[in-house]
Amino acid sequence: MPVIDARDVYKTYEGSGVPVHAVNGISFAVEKGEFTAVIGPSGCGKTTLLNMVGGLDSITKGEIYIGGTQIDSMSEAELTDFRLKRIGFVFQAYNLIPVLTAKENIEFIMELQGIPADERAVRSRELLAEVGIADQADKRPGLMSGGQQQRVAVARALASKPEFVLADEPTANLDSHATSDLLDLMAEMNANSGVTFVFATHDQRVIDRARRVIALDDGKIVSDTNAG
Amino acid sequence: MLWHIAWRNVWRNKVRSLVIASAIAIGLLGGVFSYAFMMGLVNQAVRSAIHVGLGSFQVHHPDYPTDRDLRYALDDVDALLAEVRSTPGVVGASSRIVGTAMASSAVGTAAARIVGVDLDHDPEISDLRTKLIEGAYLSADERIPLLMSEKVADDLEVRLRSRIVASVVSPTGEIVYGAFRIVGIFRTSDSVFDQSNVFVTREDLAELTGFADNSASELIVRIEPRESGDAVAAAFAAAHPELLVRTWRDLAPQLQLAADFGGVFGFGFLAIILTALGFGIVNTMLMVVMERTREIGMLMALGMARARVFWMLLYETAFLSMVGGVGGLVLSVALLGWLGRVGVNMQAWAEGLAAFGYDSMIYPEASTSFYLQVAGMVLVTAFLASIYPARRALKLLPAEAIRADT
Repeated sequence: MPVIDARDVYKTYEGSGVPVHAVNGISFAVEKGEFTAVIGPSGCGKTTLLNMVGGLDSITKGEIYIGGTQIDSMSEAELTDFRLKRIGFVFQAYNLIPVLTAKENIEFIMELQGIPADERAVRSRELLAEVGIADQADKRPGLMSGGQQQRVAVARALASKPEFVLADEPTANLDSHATSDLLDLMAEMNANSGVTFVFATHDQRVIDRARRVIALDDGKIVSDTNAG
Repeated sequence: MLWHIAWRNVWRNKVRSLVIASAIAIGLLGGVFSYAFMMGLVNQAVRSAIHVGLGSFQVHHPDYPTDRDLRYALDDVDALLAEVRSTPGVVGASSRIVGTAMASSAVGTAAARIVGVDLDHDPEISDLRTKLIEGAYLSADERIPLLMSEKVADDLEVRLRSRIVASVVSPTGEIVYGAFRIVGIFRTSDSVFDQSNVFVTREDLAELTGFADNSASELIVRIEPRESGDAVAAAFAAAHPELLVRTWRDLAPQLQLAADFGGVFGFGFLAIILTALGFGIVNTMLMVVMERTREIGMLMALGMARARVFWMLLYETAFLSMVGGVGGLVLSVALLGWLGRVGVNMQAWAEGLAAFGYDSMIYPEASTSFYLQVAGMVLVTAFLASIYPARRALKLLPAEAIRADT
């Protein structure tokens, strides 16, 4: 069973009386363990597609299944709970909570999930070690580099043991060294732990590392290639 | 962890938080001071009225208010006094003979109530001896002693040791004349009281007017604490339906009105200040929501329920308000503690205040329960002020908010 199964999905905005098809009849599936990049020019519908798959945005038409569960008919509260427990997010601007330390940022998500404090403490330490910044556990984001912050964001995304991680332009704010390190980390997690990653990106370095590349244009899939 | 986040968020912009907290603290200080000043003013007037002349309650012949003359006397006063003194809460009781007199000097005449006091028991119900500015209190050692106020003495152009003649209507309706010597001159904070009363000994006035033994024009009773006075008066009235029993509230309704109005005015003023501060808090929290649109969107995207977002902002508003509220209350307690000892000198308005029975030295008063009520009002204000900004936050769409510029 695919972790993501999008069937004939449309997203249409009514702008000035003229309908705009941001996503125009897309169907695709992502299996567990894939390392997939969704690419395309600005405005092609990458982010909209990821938002719909991540339950952040509604669809106009079609069906989306995550791990076999249809999410397009869920209420907002159900979707919020679904995102919390089954999807990991990494954003372009890191989006950590600035008043919490790295460790607290990770534990906060687990607290929302109702995980007990002692278990949170153990798992947050494990995750920080896994992303290579155990020594930064008690630092707040403002005292960390962009690469370190994005690693915390990856650790936070994995805190809920999600079915997959959606990463929207995760390297856009990073220098080449930090980008390379982050991609190495994600690739390693994908290879060793089977974590499924789906990226929306312009970054050629991400595209080069992806094993599957879905190209969009005008809200449609124009190519779907698998590098093996 | 929501509490942690909210508390730390308060200090993300220290200057802004301190500015609004300071505004809350200073506003509260102003409101609390106004209330305490008003309560001090009114309570002093009530205490002064009770301690100098009214007592907690008075007992009269039912017809006494009609003519207020010596015909309407209470009989068997000793038994009534013994009964009332045995009542719990009663700290003093005394009888008085009260008539209407014209006091004359060589240059003028003044109308006044002439009050014959029991030298042994009147100090239990009246602090008049503490209001003397010249001379001494009434004494059995003096012949026909009289106390009058500075105001009446000035009007009659008399001074200490001067003799005056008082004409009084006796219980039989005759006018009798008696000479008295001024042994003391008093001044209270109530100019109306000062102008309308002269005091002599009960024995002298009884002898002059032929007033019967074991009878009196009135009984005055002092009760502590003040609040229990009404219940004791009601019980006494129920036991003696043939007598007229009136509390200080009945005898001085203007003071009761002032006491009621003082509290309402104080709380009303405080409510206005808190409402104004509430708008300041709303403004601050709206700025917070606007500045943190992306962060709030991120929290929602990660799976934080809208209710939790609401509570996070509510806690943040409450913490911000509490910092200001606690600061304001600490300042208020310190300021009122000091002013409660040294007083607020209103000497420049002394004459006007005295005309209404108010002292010119005001000692602000605020009870612990008042401070607790204020703390509650601050929390309610914080809660109400958080609703609109929190609702704005809840309307954010995560997919849009995480891409906001802020």
